[in-house]
Amino acid sequence: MTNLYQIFFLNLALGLILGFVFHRSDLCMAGIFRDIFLLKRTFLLRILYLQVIVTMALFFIAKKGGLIGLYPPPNLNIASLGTLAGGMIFGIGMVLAGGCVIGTLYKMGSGSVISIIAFAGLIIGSAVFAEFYPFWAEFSKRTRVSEAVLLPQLINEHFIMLPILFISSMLIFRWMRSKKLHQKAYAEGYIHPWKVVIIIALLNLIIYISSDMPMAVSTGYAKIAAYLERILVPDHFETVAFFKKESYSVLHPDSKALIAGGPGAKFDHISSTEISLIVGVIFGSFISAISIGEFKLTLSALPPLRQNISALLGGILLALGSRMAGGCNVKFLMSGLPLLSIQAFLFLFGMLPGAWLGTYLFKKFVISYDKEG
Amino acid sequence: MADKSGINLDVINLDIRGQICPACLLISLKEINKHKGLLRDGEANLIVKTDHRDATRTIPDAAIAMGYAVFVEKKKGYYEITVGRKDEDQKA
Repeated sequence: MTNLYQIFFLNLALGLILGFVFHRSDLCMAGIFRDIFLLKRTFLLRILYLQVIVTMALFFIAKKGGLIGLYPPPNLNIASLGTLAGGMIFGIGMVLAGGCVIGTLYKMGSGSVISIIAFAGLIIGSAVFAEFYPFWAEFSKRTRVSEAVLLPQLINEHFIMLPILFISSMLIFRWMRSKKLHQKAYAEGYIHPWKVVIIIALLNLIIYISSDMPMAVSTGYAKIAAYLERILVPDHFETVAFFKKESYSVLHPDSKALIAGGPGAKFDHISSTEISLIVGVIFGSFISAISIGEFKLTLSALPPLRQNISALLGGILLALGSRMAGGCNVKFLMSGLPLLSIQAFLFLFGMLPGAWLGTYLFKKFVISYDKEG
Repeated sequence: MADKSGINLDVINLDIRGQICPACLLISLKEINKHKGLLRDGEANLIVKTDHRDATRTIPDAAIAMGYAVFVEKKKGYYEITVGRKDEDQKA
């Protein structure tokens, strides 16, 4: 599809489904990594692994079937040390914000005030990054690690994809038999995470086929920041190089149509793919919460001040991290890892110590928790 | 299941609605540890009010692992998690 409005409404509809299932399962990517360090729990990590493998299999089959227009997708890029550093900042931010870029959206949609604060942080952080974008772009350019975007561009894809898919399928099958992908839950209308990740993988495939790019979200935040700056500080807005750039600009090999999008304040490919998802996820979660009587916008009983500060700072760090890395956990972990993107691996390597540090900071400063109690 | 029939049972209330994740779990664990004696002796139940769907999984998980009985009930717009002593017959 090359019509931006068609893509917009399709992604909006897919975003609604996404928000609905995210709310029902409360599948929080920040929680996946935080729980490894906080509770030594790896249950959700298995769920994420399942998601990566299912997505990988779907993308691989679609590519073999000639359904994938652009490979590598233009929203994945060449990895640099900037990706690693960004991943780390992102990891800290997601624990402090109590959710990642998409977790913040579905929590906000269900009425969580603290996630609205984190959302504001994400917009502020995007605007802050815009100020030092030229410096960071130069740094990233100088610290590139490879000219390839995806590992299969370096090694024959069959040699690498097929063994991963085969071994992982065996592993997942063993988990299924020993019920390691299942957990007890008490919440009403709960949808089990293993089902949700399969749904997300399918939605991601539809997005990749229809818009020539797998799922991504975080540039959408930068775009919202751009619109706000244009309204609030129009003179300054004109001088910011970040809001002038295109994140990608390619000709589609079949239709020869121009596919271009960036953080600027205009309706483009990013608007139709990412802004639509942002809006969709918020409303999808809202519908889910309303339908089981769990929508709760309580402004009367605000959480403790420290938690509000944590959410705001976390949101700012989430945006800084994803802009420094050139993407967030959605683009890298849900879409990049299944394509074996080198950027995705670097982002993950940075995000793990970041999440550890975030957990440490949260325990020390936000609720002063120690195990002895 | 926690003993809900005991009328003379003390109730320790903990309202963590609207709080950030993972504060819900950590604060609950802190509270459980603080009242360890009372909860273990069956002299009191801890009732946690939360609107966090994931906490209805993580708090019971942790409390059950610590040897308590847990009961989750949906109220209007939030969940109530009761943590208390395990009944003797259930221990066996």
